[in-house]
Amino acid sequence: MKVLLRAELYKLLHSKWMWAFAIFTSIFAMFLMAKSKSSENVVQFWAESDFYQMVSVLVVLYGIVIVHEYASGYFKEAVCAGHLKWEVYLVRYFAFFIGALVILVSPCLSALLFSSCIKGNILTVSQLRAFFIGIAFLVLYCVCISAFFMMLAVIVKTYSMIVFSSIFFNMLVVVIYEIIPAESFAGWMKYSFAGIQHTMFFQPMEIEKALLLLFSFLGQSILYTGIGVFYFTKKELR
Amino acid sequence: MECVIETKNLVKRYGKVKAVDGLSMRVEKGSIHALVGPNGSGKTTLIRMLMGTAIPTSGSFSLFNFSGEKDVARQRKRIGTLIEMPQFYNDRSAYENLDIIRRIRGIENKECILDALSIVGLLGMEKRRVGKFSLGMRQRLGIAKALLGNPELLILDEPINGMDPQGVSEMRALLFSLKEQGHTILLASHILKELTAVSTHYSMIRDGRLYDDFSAGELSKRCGEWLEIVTPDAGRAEGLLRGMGENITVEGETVQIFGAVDSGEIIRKLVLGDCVVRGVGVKTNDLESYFIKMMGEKI
Repeated sequence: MKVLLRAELYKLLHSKWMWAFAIFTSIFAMFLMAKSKSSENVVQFWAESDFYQMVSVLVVLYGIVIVHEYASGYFKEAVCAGHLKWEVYLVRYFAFFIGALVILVSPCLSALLFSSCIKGNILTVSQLRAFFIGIAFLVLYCVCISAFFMMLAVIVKTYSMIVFSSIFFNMLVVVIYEIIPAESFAGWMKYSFAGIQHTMFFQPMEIEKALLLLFSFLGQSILYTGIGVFYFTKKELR
Repeated sequence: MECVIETKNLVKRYGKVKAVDGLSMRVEKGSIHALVGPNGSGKTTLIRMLMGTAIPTSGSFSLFNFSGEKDVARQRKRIGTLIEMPQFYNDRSAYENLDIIRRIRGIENKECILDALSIVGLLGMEKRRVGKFSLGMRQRLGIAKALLGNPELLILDEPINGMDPQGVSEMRALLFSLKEQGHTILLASHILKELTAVSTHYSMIRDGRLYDDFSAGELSKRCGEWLEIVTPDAGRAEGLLRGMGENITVEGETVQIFGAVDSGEIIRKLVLGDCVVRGVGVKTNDLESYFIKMMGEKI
């Protein structure tokens, strides 16, 4: 497994796509920061931005990368090289998560740097704490959404299907937001990504809420990974 | 003889179709074992099961005398494979592709990449993107991939697909040299002439079943051997030789004598009988003719 992990990290570090995404999102985040009100610091900016949509789009794009791995024969090669299928799946999931994380955390950090160094909006200790708690939950969110898209990618296996499924998934979220009255939504909305953003950045975190979020994300990740591993080990590689 | 691959009643079913049907065979260490069979006979499915990309419906197999899913999986790192059309990252160079495979296999020595590229004649093209490679070059790169790290066992499925005559000839030389180095090779190919040139063992497969299994030494016996005499007095020669061999046929000026015969005695009889002999030769069927005879079709 260590051998496979090293190979994956090498591949990831040499992935032009990942760095291109990371650079693009970082520049985009700095551009948005530059255009925002001069008094707005990075915490306020991220709390009010629609970051969730960016997360979804980027992870969908990264899902395409997983399907690309099928086409390149990577999974087949790893199994032929003597690695167990569940190891191949978990290592790929880990690499997928790291890739998604680099893409998502780099704009946060570059916006923080831009806000602090260029705009001179130095964060207070409590704001900085809120910022890093926000990042920590972004990591958790990445664990969860990576598990979901990894599972989806190994099941659908084709580019068109992964794109279609991702669009469908995003549309479903939008429809849910639209058709359910805001009041009834508010109860569990706070556990969504947008909810976390607001909670993290504007209010002190309640410990039980944080734990609930933690278990919700981890539970979902375990479920998706379990389904993915089961499917992957039972299916043949062509 | 030590056995590197052994299958026992291996079955692979796709719905109602049995791609492999109770196949039991052995591949011995140091041999070049040819898998011969028409399209859809189950050769690739067998190889895919051995390499873990297809799951057997029933039966079992061992690799290097290890059986059981986990142990077998670990033994696969001792095998270099080329299954069907090799797949690569088209947007990466030949060197990068092999480097990824090297890392996946846990091979520390980086030099093995250039060694493998040199063996298959792709040295100097290592920086070229694989997407720009021709079919034959991709096939060569696939063989280089299989050769990485000098594996003990090579499993090659149609290795000369898409290769030009020079490539085929180089491939034959490569197989000979690998055999000399003591590698074991399981080779599936349609080009029977090439198989005859290098193989030490043959397994004939049809409809997922093992039809015949024999060594290169046994091939001539199975293919059949006969004595062919060219004479303008064919009718007289037939009369003189009656009772010799199992069967005699005449076709124009050619007399064919089948079965175990003493060629010296035959020539003596013909000369004493005043028969003009223009030519004498021992003829054998080749693998292709034998295959057609056995399977009733051409591949």
